[in-house]
Amino acid sequence: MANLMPKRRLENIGLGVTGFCVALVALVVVTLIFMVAQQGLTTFFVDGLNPIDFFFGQNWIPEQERYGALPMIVGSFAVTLLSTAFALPVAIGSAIFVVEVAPSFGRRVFQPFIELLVGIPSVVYGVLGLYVINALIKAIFGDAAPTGAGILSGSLVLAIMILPTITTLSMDALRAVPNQYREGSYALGCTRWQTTWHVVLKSALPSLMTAVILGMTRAFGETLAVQMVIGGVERSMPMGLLDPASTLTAALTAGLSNAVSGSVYYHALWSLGLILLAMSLIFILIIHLIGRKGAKANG
Amino acid sequence: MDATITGDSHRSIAGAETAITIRDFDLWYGDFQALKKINLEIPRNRATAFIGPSGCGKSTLLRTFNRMCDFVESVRTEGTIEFDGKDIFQMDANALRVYVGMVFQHPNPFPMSIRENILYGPRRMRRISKSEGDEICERCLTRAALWDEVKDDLDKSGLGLSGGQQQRLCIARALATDPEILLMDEPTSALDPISTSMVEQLMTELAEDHTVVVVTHNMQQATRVADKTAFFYLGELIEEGPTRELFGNPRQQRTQEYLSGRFS
Repeated sequence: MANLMPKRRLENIGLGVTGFCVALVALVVVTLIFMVAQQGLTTFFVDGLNPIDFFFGQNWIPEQERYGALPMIVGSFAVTLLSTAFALPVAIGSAIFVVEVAPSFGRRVFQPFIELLVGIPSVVYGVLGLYVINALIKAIFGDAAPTGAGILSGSLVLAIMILPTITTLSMDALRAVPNQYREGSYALGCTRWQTTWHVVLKSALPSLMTAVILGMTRAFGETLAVQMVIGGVERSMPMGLLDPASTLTAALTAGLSNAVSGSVYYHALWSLGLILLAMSLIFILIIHLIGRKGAKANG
Repeated sequence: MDATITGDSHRSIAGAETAITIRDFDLWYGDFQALKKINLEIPRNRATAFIGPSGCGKSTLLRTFNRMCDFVESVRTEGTIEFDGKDIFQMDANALRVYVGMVFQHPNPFPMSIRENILYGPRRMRRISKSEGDEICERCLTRAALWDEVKDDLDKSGLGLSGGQQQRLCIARALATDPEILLMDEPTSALDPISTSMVEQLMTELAEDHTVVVVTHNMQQATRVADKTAFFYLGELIEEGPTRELFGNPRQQRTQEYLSGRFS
């Protein structure tokens, strides 16, 4: 009985400390969203920029007070979708190989190898992209791509960068498929590929989609490496994959040094940040929706 | 413990043809010998039970019949196992498994609808039309005594069923490829008593036109469903014979001791 009091105090301290941590995280998130929204919306409500001109305007030329963000929006979506399209087949393919075909090779050799790729700083990918991929594109396409910089180069660099993310998460997704599904399929006389295709991939689909979305989130948010290879052209719309372009993140970074605090330009940059924030909220929402649907399908 | 024979479902194994012949069969996992010189005949269209304490090799032998043991690394075998005179190790493992169905200890329906679960096996072999699919579903689910419970819910997930229903779904799924042999690896150990008795009833019915081999920890279950019983201990086949004889009048001392519960 005498021991009960200190125990209860420990309970209260534990509750207090962990509760405080949660409150702190919530405060940071709410503050962040509030600040970005407040500054980003100033462009429209105080500076009087027409949202339609902002979202659909095809020219971003701050010197002429023209703030059309469409070139960057298009650039961001183009590199995100293209890089995912490049990385996805390779990522899923290698995940299938190391989980279903050669699991011990997967754990001992492939896993550390792929984790190494995750840890490489993005500037290294940028340098690699600038000197290798841009040069390659230039060599292949010649005059069509005078500098080699453009959406295609950006997508290729990003594809390499998000490959480890999608691969590791896909491997986890495949490993999480209960072995008894595989046994059940083999016992019915199915081959390995039939089993992989019809049971393993099918039941891992929600987690695989989450892997893809997380890869896309990374591609959408990546700044430095893309900025180094994409060309950094915000003033006009890219007309093809070989045209130099820009992304929301790259334009935001590039503009920071030029914008005077409180100016329209400054607020317009916050608005770009607001778009990025909204997009990451949408990505997370999609992941949650997939998760809930997957939980339902798996009973 | 008194393991008396209660059921009258036992059929003579004397007149039955042999479906599976095991000759001088040894199996190693690496350096560990899990099965030692097994010689045994499994009668056709009868139920045969493998009993014995954990680790005695009974499940290993069962999983050899459909070559599921192939997936274990470092497994090695000697001797022969023949179905209708054909050595199973010479056969294509996938073709073999179409002919030898298996039901596992834990019900393992795929995360798909009941219909897709049943048609999973047939669809991997050929195109199944809608009407043929309906016919297979109804026939297999009826045979597995599940049709009346699920006939209106064929498109619902198999994972939404109760444990006992899931196991019957797995039996129906195994029947859909028209196997001649059905292997059951402790099929009721994860089920409640009512589901257990339903599955036991099914085993008896299925043994009329299938060769059923069941591994069980439950001696009463062996007496209820099996026409023939084989007792394994430490990788050896100690004794085999008609269930009634093995339980009523065991010849080996180890069998006697095991049946009377002196070790388990």
